[in-house]
Amino acid sequence: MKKLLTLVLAVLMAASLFTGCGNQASAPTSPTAPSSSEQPAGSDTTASTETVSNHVENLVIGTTTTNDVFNLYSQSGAFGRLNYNCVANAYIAYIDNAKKIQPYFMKSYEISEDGCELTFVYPTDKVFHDGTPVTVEDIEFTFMYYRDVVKNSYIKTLDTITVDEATNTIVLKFTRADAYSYMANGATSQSILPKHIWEDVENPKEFVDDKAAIGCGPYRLVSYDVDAGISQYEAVPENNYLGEIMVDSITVKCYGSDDAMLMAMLNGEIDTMYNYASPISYTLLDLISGDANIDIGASPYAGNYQICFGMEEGRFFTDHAAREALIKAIDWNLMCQIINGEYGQIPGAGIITPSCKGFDPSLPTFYQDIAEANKLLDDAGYADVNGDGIRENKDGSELIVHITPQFSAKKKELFDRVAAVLGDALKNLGLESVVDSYPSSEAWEKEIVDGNYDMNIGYTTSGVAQYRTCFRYFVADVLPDDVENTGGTTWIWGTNHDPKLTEEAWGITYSKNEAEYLEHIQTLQQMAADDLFAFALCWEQCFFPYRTDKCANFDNWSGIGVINPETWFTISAK
Amino acid sequence: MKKRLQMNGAMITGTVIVLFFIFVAVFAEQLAPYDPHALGIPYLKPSPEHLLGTNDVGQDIFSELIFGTRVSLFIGVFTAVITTAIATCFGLLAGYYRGIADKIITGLTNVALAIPSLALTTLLVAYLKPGKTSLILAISITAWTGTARVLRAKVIQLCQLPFIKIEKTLGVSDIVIMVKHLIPNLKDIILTRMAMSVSSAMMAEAGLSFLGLGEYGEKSWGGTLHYAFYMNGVIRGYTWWYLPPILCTSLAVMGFMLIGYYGAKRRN
Repeated sequence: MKKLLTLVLAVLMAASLFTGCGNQASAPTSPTAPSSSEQPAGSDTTASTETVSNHVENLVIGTTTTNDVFNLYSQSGAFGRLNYNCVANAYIAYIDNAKKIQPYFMKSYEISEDGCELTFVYPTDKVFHDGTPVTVEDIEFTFMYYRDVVKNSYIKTLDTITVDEATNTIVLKFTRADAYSYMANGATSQSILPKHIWEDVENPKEFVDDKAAIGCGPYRLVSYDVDAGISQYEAVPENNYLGEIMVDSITVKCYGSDDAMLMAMLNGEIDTMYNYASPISYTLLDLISGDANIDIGASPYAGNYQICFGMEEGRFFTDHAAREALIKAIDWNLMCQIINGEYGQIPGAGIITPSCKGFDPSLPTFYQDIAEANKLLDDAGYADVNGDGIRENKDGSELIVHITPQFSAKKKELFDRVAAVLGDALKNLGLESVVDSYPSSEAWEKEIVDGNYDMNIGYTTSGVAQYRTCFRYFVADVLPDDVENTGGTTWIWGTNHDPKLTEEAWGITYSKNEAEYLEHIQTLQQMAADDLFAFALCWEQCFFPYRTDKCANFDNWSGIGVINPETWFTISAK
Repeated sequence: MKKRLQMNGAMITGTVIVLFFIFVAVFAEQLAPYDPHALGIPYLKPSPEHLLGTNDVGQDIFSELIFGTRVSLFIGVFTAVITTAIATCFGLLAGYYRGIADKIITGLTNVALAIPSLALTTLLVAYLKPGKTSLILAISITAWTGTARVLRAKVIQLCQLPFIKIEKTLGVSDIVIMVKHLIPNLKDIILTRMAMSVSSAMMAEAGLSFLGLGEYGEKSWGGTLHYAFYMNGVIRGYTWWYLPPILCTSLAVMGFMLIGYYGAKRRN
């Protein structure tokens, strides 16, 4: 009996060894697919022969973002990040490659002259991924949900909603001229939520349910395997917001690192990649540059690395001469080489990059002149009083410059290298420096918020750079009526209390129209050039590579890559 | 019995290697052609000006290696001294007194042995202020256990020998017995284990620095390797950047391990 039991157990154990050898490591979860739906066959991109011949049957996208959160509201994980490009969700509007606000879910929008009224024409033929139609009640619910539950800052002044079902129009009336601001910031990041799923959800970020992924975007999440980091989406033909959906299905594959992802691209396992604000490093280009079927996907990057000076009273860099001297002492060629290799461009004084809306090309470009920099400090009264070769403060007290890199597990090494170049520049000025590194983002943020730094090495992602811009990181204050504003009071990392800067920086967010927005941008760039309260470290080229042998008509958006809200409607199979 | 140093080929080789690295560490300023922190032209290939080329910020890799010897040796030797001292104290106390002291120390050793040392060390270094002291502290916390166990067993064995029993009967104080009689009889084990500890501490330091947990700006072999990997030096084929620190670490570790063969012939 004992032998028999042992034998049975041994057979079972042996059999279990083979369970992992199939095509799928574990049974994928199907949160939203109706029982009749089929999973996309294979991962290779091939032309569908059954329907239109140039449809892309399955587009395989690689990412290094973990693929484990499937919540329409959340921006975490590959699902959330990919939804920036309207996959499972349908944003009310999106910003196109020319930086113009275009309608997406809504058929059209119109802003009243006084900026207080926003009129949309809504569609009536769209569906949620569970098969229910999108109704005007869902649309109304979405606006109210973002105002009352999410407490989104861009819609907080929404007063009334008027619906005209005869003309399919919905009018949002704001208590102040926030319509443009809402379109630029809110509508381009908010999707229509199914009322029947979200009406009882009070904490959207914590909503963990298979239904949380149900949206009205052009693609329905049909399966995911968290362990394998793979998720599958299939097109919902009714949700053809920007025309006929040309990609029948999407597979998202998660990789542990950029080099692993590029190897997969070389092998043809993936067609392209998508990582929000994380293009691949120039150091990896050698890996793919020899393959004629891979385009490195270069484009000007909208984001940038930057220095923000600590402007609390008594700090060294509150002195304009000190700021100017440092900038003139930096080896700009080396700085750009470190950040972006041979592709890096020495930045101009206006901070924001050439690919951003409102960029001012007339502002001066930085250059190195150590003699001039030293003269600036000499003239300002920073002398080496005790003869140790190190300058002291004007009052003769010890002067040590604190360089504080932003905490980032992913960018730590680069920040350290940037700190080395800055330390070298300070050394050339006869200044002593220390690099303060912190073990966690909380520890770093506390020091920054408390103003315990002279120079903070930071980073502005492409998403922030393209509209709100880096200037929001330099202000220490919010607008007086924004005190209760949860959206506006996060990431207040600056120490600059200049009321003009505060007004202009937040003015970007609350512009009444594009002309006003551009005016703020111009003023801020000029202020940055004159005052030097912060400066960019490099203007970069970014790289989002993609294969060219399977799909045609990829449009490589500046700073975003070939995966963007229009991709699903524009590419075709070769 | 007249004592004399038991030399063997392995030990001589190890000593030569270690002496070489000690020489490099002591005379780093004189030997290094450049200041290892001085920035220059990035990614230069090996040439007469830069024997091992330059790194991503133009620092001379050869000079980095030379100065890196100091950090690696410093951390290795200090950690070994600390861990050996802790292990010797615990081994003596547990083996000599037995009873409750033995139970507590053995329990502590078992607990320390059960903790995955690399994970604990990484965690500690990540949360302590980065620096040599943190590295030494973090590595030392779990590195004493093996030596303590071996020494405890040896002390128990020695305590059964007549000369220790006679000393005890004569009323010689415990501290005198330990210092004058036990430690001299443990010296082979202590020195061998210490040499091994240096090499394992150097490996741990290289590993932690490679993971990016070293001190900012500190030149160490693990740190050099870390940046070579971070800047994709392996993929880009920059052998002159990533191979030398690996070779140096391996050679130094081997040197200390060979010294650990001190007295091997006699014991055989």
